[in-house]
Amino acid sequence: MNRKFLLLSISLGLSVAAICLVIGCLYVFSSPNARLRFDLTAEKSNGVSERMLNAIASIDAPVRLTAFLYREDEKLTSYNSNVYMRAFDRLRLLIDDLEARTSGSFSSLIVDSNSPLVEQQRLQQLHSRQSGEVIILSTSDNHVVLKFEDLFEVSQAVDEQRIAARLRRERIDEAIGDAALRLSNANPFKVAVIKALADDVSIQPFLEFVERQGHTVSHVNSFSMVGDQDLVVVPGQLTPFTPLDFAAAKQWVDDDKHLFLALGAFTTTAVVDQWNQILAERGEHFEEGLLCEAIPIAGTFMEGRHECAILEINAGKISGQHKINEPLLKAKRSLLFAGTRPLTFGDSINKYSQSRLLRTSVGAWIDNDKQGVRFARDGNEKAGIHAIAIASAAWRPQSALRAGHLLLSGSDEIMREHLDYNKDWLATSIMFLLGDDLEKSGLRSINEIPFHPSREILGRIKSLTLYLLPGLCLLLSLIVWMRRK
Amino acid sequence: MASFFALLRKELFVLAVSPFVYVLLAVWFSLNALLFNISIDTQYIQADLSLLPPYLFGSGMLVWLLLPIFPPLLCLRMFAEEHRVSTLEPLLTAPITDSAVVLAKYLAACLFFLVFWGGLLFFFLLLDMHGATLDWARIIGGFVGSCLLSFLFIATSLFASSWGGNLVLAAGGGAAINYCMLFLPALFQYDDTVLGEVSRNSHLPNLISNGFAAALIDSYAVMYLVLLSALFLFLTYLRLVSRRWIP
Repeated sequence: MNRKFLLLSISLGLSVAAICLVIGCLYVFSSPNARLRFDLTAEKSNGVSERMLNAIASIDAPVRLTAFLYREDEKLTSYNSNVYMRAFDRLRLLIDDLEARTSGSFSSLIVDSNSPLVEQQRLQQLHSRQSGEVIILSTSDNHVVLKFEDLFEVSQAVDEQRIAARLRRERIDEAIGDAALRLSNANPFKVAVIKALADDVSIQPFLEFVERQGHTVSHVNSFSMVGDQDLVVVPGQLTPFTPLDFAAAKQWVDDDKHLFLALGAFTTTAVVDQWNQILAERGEHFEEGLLCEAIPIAGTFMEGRHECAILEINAGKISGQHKINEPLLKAKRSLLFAGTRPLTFGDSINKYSQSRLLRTSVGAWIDNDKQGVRFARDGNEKAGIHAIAIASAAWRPQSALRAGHLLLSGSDEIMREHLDYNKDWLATSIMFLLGDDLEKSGLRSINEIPFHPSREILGRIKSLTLYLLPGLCLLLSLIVWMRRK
Repeated sequence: MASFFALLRKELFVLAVSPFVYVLLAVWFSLNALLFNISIDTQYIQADLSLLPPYLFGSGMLVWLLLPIFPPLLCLRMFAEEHRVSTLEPLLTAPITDSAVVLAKYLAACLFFLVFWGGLLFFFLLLDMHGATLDWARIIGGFVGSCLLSFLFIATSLFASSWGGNLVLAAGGGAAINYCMLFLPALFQYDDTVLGEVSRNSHLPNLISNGFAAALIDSYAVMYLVLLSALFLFLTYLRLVSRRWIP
């Protein structure tokens, strides 16, 4: 009896010891330092980027990410759209990866419609969550909210043709990284955006966009009011400079300070002339006219439509030489430029390196009819490849903040009406202008693998899967049973 | 070592000549084929085939309702049946260690379970043959994750099977442990406490669909599945050893 009890105790003791050992090992292996992740994809772009990890690591306080994965927008669920399914799959994956690769100061919680109702209500009240808000990144005293449209770009459903909404791009990595930078608030860059009008409301989303990247943004009335900013953005300009503003702008450029200048095709000649004068030393020049391209409709190229002035800048028109464009090309992004003015560059004082960032196709033409815009060619237009965005930097920078980074864009619509289509490019451009490291940008591509088999192929697959393997197994079962019998 | 391989061969042979195992395979393939066909007929999946591997290997409910049951059924006869027909005692007194007995039976069941998951790979191969472009990184990742999870469930099933000659208890016990491991973490994953943290780290569907089936292999997930399998094998070994003094 005593021996039995002793052996039983030893067995139980060994069992408990084994369980404790496994729990201990799992505790050690769950710590971020001991955790390794292997990305099996060819592009190695499945997880979070170094940039996002650094941004999270730069926050001193513990960070909490709460994700609310609700299918709230009916437009994104109609016609069997898989937008939410794919978007939430991706979000779960990246949040999981982020948690695995950050230190213990980061934690996450995913709430969806399957979560206990009490918990859902408690967390929604805790964060004062509004409809459409997906991610709330918070520390004990601050928080940043990210909406669905901050994280994904979606093509809208077309009711007439019963076409479902589709997920076009993802910005999860960028958006969460930017939100973390805002929370860290460690020496944010100061960005001044010059007002095009006294009441410039259409630029508001752009201001919020720049702010979300962790920068301090001030919306100033004129160039002469710019103080010790790190970057000045001119998102279009309607009225010419006063002599005071002109002098301030010229001084800014001559001092090799950073400038992002966007002037569209409809900017007045007086304004363009002033800027061309300021940029003369750099050899960069805004040309007159509106750039147009024939648009492909039903297998043919059409002219004479206003859509001709909306240029789709795909991979072939994006220069891979400049680091601004590298993340975009890697992530297979395209851009949309509307109301675009051509740019030229070349005869500079050999103090700056200049690059053409974006260009039109070879079939583009400059529509500058005296009678007004026709969006069509009559043979007198200057056709061919035209630069629409140019970047330059000083060969010998005076300092990190006076490196002569200048970016010219032939369209100001990219910061207004078409902001959603160009966020990635604008983000990398601003990062370049401020001297940020672009190598580790977190842009990710969303590759769809469509498969639309005919009913015949589906039927064949169905027969082979439903009948072949199970039938073979049943046959084997019968043979074995008969042989054993 | 020779006796270990002899026992492994014997166990594989016994599985290969068991009509019950083939019926089990037929049911597994039929149900998975049903899920597979329903999935590829939906607009969701047709719009993007990369959603298919996480669904079939990870988050698909049919897989999660089936997977905990099949390993216990496969392992049913390994110890419980041997105990019932009184062939276990001769085996344990044969010149082979108890650990080799446990490992041989476990390895045989694992190798046979590869056939179960191999059928799903055949489904993907069929898609490939019919012109679909597939994300093989996700498929292989999902396959590896599902195999590791199945091996864990086989270990728990062996443990349940080692407790006596009652087949219903062996199968039911194994399935119960497997379901607990699947669904208990889901109950507490929203807690803000340590329990919630542990639950999130041990949520098996998440480990598979957000990791393996997303082509992202996490060393923690691999260690979790391997260590728990090893733990249950050790407990099975202890149970076998202790049978000599606690029947």
